[in-house]
Amino acid sequence: MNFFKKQAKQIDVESIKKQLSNSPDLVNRTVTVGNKTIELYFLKNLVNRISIEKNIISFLNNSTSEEINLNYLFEHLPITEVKELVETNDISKYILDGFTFIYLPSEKKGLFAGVGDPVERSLEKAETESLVYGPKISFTESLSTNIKVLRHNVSNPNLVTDEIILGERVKQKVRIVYLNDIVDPELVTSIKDRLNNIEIDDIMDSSVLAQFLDDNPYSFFPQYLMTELPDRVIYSINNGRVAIFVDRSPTAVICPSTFFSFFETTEDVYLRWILSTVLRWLRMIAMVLSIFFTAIYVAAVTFHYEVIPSRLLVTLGQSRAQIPFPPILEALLLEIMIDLLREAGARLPSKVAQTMGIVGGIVLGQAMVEAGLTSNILIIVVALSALSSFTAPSYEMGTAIRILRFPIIILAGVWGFNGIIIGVCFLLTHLLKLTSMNTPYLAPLYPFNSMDLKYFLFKLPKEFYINRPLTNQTLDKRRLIAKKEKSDRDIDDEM
Amino acid sequence: MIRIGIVVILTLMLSGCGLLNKTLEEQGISTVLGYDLLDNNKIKGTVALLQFNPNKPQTQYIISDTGKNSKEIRQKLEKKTNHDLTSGQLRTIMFQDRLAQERGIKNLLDTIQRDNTIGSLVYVAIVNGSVEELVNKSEYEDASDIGTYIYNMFEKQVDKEMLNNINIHDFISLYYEVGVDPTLPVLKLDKTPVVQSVAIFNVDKMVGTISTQENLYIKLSKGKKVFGYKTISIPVEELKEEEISIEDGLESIEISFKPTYSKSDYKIISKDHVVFSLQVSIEINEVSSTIDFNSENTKKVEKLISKKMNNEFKSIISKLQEMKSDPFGFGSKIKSLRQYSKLEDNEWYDIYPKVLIETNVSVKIKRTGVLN
Repeated sequence: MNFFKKQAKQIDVESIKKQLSNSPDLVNRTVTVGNKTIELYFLKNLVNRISIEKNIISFLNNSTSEEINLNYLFEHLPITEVKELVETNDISKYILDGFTFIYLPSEKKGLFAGVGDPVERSLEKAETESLVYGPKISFTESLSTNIKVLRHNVSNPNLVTDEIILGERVKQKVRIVYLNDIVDPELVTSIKDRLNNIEIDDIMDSSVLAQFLDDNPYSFFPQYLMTELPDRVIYSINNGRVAIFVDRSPTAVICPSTFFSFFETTEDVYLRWILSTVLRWLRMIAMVLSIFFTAIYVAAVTFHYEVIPSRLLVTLGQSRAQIPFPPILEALLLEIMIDLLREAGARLPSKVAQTMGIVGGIVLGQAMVEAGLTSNILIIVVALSALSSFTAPSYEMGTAIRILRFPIIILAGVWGFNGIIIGVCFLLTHLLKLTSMNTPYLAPLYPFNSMDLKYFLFKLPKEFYINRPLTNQTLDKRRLIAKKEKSDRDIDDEM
Repeated sequence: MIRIGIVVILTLMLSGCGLLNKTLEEQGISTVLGYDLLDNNKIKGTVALLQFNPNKPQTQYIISDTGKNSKEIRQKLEKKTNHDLTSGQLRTIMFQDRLAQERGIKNLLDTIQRDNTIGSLVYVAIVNGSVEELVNKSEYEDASDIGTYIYNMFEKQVDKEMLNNINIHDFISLYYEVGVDPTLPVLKLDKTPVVQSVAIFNVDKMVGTISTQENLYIKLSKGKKVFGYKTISIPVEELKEEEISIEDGLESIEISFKPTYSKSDYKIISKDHVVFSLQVSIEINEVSSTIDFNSENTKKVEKLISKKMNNEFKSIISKLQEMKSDPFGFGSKIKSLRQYSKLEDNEWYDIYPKVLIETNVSVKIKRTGVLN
């Protein structure tokens, strides 16, 4: 007991320094007004100096010593965010958040003034999810900016941004964003439960958080959609999903996410229905092509020359005639080469990457064919499937697909088409079993829901979108759309 | 996880039990297979293989050897190439006409059909002359090899012209069906392989040929959609009898037409008496003299063409009856009646030449060109 009392009373430079591990950045400024002294504590690189000078020091100097007490400062300090000292141990936490601790030794009380100057970059165009159509703005690393952007776009009092603090050593703010008149309350509860159960020193990024939320951590597939586009987040929460933001991370986690939502872009919403249906199918066909095209080549050339169309046979045979490797080695060699190129391109600065792309892609490919190490048809096959894998709008899904093709190619090289079918069986059973925040991953195909197909597999004209996706089990099932009578009225109709 | 890992490792070890490795470039891929009957009663097999060396001008090479049966020939052929002889891309099988006449082709086709790598859509043809010579010496336009050329030609002929379905499946199924006989095209080497006529079979032995024009009636009776062209000539007297006016000084006029639709109807009066009627819709393509195709004249021309075709049809049937071959399948139609359901091949061929087959062709002109 004695120990606690002592702790609560003793606030001086030494104790605060101790709390902050003797940080050399800690500034202790004493301001004397008449017979009163006021002590300011802050970390000099976390605060806005001008704000301290103008709003605190000069304000104190302009006050009389009689005026100055805790309540006066609370009421009159020209600073937006002011907090009272409750627990001595909180001092370090607030100072680390960029607050200035104003201590009044005469009253043995203090308060925190928010003069923080957080590290922030300006809002920029989205990098990883680039769009042709629609809003270009993307989230930044600052949580408050992200929420600001979101609030700016959705002026709806029902937009809930619940805060949870996660991380044992590094406290990190996590926001759960949803529309509370639409979202399934059970979903929110289960997300909160899972978040509260996470025990971790430091959540580095929202992608790390997403991995903690995974239903099946061993899966190849990303179970939550990561996006840096505010309009995508808004579209998702409008359909009854939940977005999770993490401070210091520019990407939001959308849960639940289904397999097909990884092949959807916001452009699909903006474009006309035929266009977006065609483009969406193009991306899905590209996915299938990307996984299976090389494998089919390997299987056909190794085991099933019977299925090769007779017109292609001579061309294919001639390109293979001089190759010293079996088809599977040849294919793996090229696939690995393409992945090397991609990885090198991602790591290098963009100017060098361009040169490397030309050297790797054109020179190396050409030379390999001329040296007789690979057949030129395989180069086309591999390049086409690599190209297809880049069409996936989600970077994570694209990468998953790229990796997935290797086991399939090996199966094809070992067992031919039978191997591919075995691979497909494993893949399908896995996908059917997979869930994302307890929502079936393959919805609406399994469990089948014909009403939801229009949200996931194709798009229809606007008037078909009366209901929200049933998969999300929203509270408010009906979506408000423009009344039909209204839209049918022409300008020259009598009112 | 460990369990899954063990399963994966164990299954990969099973690769030895899997498929035989058949890497494309190591295969001697045969596209054409041909059999000749030699004078010493042995059979000579010829195979055209694809070769994949891009530096050589030819994309095929041909090997042949003799033996008593197809497997012996194959064994000998294997000695002549460093590739595995495979038949998964086989497109055409050809038999010398003498072999088909003397030996029948069922035995050789049977082994081919039992081979699971050979599809049943492989075309079968008869060669007038030596198959080996045809495979070795013919030219093949822009096709990469002789196999592709013959395959493309047959595909075109079956789909758009006058040949019947001639793949292994059709042959074998007609072979086993009582009262129908298969037909096959006859090729002859004339720089390129040319479809010369159609071979007529009694069970599996070739008994004669009919021209492709005559084969049109077989195709019409099977009710296929595309039939090629036919030209008939009508003497002027007949036209005059019908009071159709044409230019003076002509002996006959030629009418070319294209059948577009046909419907056949068999009326079986008894085992020895069949009435076969054929309704054909045609499109007139070319007339050697101008005829005014008004509705009256059209009717008259229809009548003339019908008469002409009917006569032709009759003569073909009597020719086939002489050869004891029944590609129209009168036998199977008779057998389909309950009272004759016990009809067997032997019995049918005994009575077939004596069966009275009445024919009744009626032609309808659907189009006479854009002018009308």
